[in-house]
Amino acid sequence: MKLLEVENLSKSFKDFHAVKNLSFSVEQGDIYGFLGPNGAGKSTTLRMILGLIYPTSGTIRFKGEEIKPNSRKYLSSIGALIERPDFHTTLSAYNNLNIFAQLSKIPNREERIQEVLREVKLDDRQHTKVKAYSQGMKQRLGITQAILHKPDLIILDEPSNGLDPQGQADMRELILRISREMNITVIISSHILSEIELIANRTIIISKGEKLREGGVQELMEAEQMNIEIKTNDNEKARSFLESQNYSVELKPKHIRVRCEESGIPELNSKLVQAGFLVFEVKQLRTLEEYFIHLTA
Amino acid sequence: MRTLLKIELYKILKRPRTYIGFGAILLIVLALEFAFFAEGETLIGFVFQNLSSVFRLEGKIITMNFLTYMLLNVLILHVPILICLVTGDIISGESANGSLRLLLQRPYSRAKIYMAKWTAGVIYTIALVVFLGLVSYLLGAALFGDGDLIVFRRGVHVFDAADVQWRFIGAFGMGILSMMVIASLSIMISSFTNNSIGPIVGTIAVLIVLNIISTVAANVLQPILPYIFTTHVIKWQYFFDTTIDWGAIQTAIVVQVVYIIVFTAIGLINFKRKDILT
Amino acid sequence: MKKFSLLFLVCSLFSAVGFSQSEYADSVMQAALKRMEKIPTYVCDIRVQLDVEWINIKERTGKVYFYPPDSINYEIKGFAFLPRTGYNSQVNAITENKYTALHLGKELVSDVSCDIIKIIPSDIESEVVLGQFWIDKNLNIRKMTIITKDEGSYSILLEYGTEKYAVPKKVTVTFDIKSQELPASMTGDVESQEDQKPMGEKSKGSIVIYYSNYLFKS
Repeated sequence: MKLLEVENLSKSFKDFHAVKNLSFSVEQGDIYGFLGPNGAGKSTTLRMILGLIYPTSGTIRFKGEEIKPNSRKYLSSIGALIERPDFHTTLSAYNNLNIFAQLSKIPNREERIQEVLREVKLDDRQHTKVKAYSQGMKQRLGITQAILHKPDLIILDEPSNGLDPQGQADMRELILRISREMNITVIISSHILSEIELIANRTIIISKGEKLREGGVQELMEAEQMNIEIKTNDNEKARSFLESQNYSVELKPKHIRVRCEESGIPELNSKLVQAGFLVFEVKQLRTLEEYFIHLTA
Repeated sequence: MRTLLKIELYKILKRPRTYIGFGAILLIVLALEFAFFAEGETLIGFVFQNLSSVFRLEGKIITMNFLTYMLLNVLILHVPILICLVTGDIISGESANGSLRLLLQRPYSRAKIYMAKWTAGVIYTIALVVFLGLVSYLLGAALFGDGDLIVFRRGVHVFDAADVQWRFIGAFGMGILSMMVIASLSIMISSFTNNSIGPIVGTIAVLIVLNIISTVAANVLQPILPYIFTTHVIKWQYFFDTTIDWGAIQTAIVVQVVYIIVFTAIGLINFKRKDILT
Repeated sequence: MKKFSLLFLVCSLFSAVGFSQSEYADSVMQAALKRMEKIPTYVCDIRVQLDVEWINIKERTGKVYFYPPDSINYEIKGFAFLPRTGYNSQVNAITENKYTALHLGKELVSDVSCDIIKIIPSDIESEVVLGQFWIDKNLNIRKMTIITKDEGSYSILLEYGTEKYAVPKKVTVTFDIKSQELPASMTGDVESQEDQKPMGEKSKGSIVIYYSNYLFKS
């Protein structure tokens, strides 16, 4: 079932178009990666879903119902951690969560607060003021306020921001647990692409406000494994040559991109060498990061 | 709405700067009342010089009512500053520190959130003014006791002790209304900015400029003076006339209520429409 | 010689008349003072009404305690504006030092015929420049007007009842007073800034005190 559908969503700030006709959908149970370089419009899009920013045009549907500008009820089924986790620093973690629990009208408030604090391993520090928390603890507390009211969907914007490798690993584990054990759909925006590759099952890549690709992570990777990046001493001539050899070639600023299966790489390389080209690099796009960089360059 | 209001009040109570206002008022009251306790005769000597050359002044001059009346004058400039410290920050402070974002992710309309913040700001304002009144009155009662009230306002008025309480209730009521205008103004400005200091400075700047205009107004500005809200901040004094000008008081109430409505409406509309980018 | 004798006789006659007038005035004054001295310690009820244009105060009630020769203590409910000194003190202040008394004839005061006695203090440094008293046949002072150097002039009108001592039932003190307005910047009443009267503008005021229920301690 489609939990979230975004259709032709646009947002302009005066003359600047932050998001242009963006469309995507998130299925129930997904861990949905939301990728893009800085300024791509990720945060803007997520804020529009949460009603923090008003779209210029387009529609957003949650559980089949359109979200109107003054709709607020749907937010009781969504939790979010957008950018840094900003709490009232003069209050303790417990008091902060208590405020959110009251706002969300959670039954058995006390029990639920203790449950989520245990989940993120902050139960022994719950009465410490948030200003004394480390970045990792704040991030974990941020997750707890997002899941406190047992939402259907949580939106996490850079949840591993500022965390060390162990912290990042812990965060990934937590997100996976949230998804599997609590049956919560997750949208995760991150710059740590290896992380998305490890936990997301579907992803969208946007740049300059527009969608570049959407689909299952493996599916995207597998399709792209047909692309080879080659660097020669004369990329333009190399392109012409390979096109004459019936290859599908794209000229990029610093390399050429050739559509070729893995088994065909040695032959391709050999043809270039025999034709007198100096081949400096032959690279198969394997990781999401490389794919991402290639796509958004 | 009740939950929202409860939480807004809780947040106000948990902020250290909330207590600056109460602390400052306490200090002002203590300073003034103890100064009068120690040297009251000298302090009022100048004021009563002319009268004591003609009359024998029989009875207490410095009473709890006299001190409370004097302390009401801090309503003019000092209490508004203390109010802005909290109400000016009520939206922009949360916007600056990011917690507004978390609040707006809850299933409450922005209108309800704004009105809850406004109501909490107004409750704080009322508490501050009532605190001024209570502390002045109670400390005055302990130090000076009850007695008639002598007011120098367009002459000299002496009010019987029994005739004073309802006047103070009216005066503090008017004071509360005036301070509500200021609170509404600062909350409105707070909805337009994303930093704590802007609304506080902005509100104080507006008050100072309008006060100067009201005080030093050239004849050409006289027609608009009744419509400037700072003109009415001193209207509490009307409760200390022998013959009360109820018409003027009514006008002051209406003008200030209109300002409260207008400031609140502007702030609310802006808050409902604004994109939350912080 | 005859002319000089006649002149001498006439001058002596006039002096004698003049001298006897002054004597007469002084004797009336002294008799009134003696009557006043007989007033014993008393307490009585009073009502005080003030009439000054720029002072608003309701009638005050209370008691006054008199201790001869001229000491007064008040017990007033609330705050009150009272005459600076009692009428007894004012009379004594003028008459306790050397003075010249002149009889200026008779005049009706509150429909009662009174001798007009003018008192001129002999001491040139005296605060009181001139005093005038209207004394009735019962030796009660019905009216007095006092002119001072620095504190303007005031007059006191006394009405008597049926008490055996020279104690009034009503005293009206009329005086000059300068206006008292604090600057608007002090009172915060900025609206009245332009309407404020100049400080020190003189006007007349009065205090009326009603005395009743005298209790004398003989």
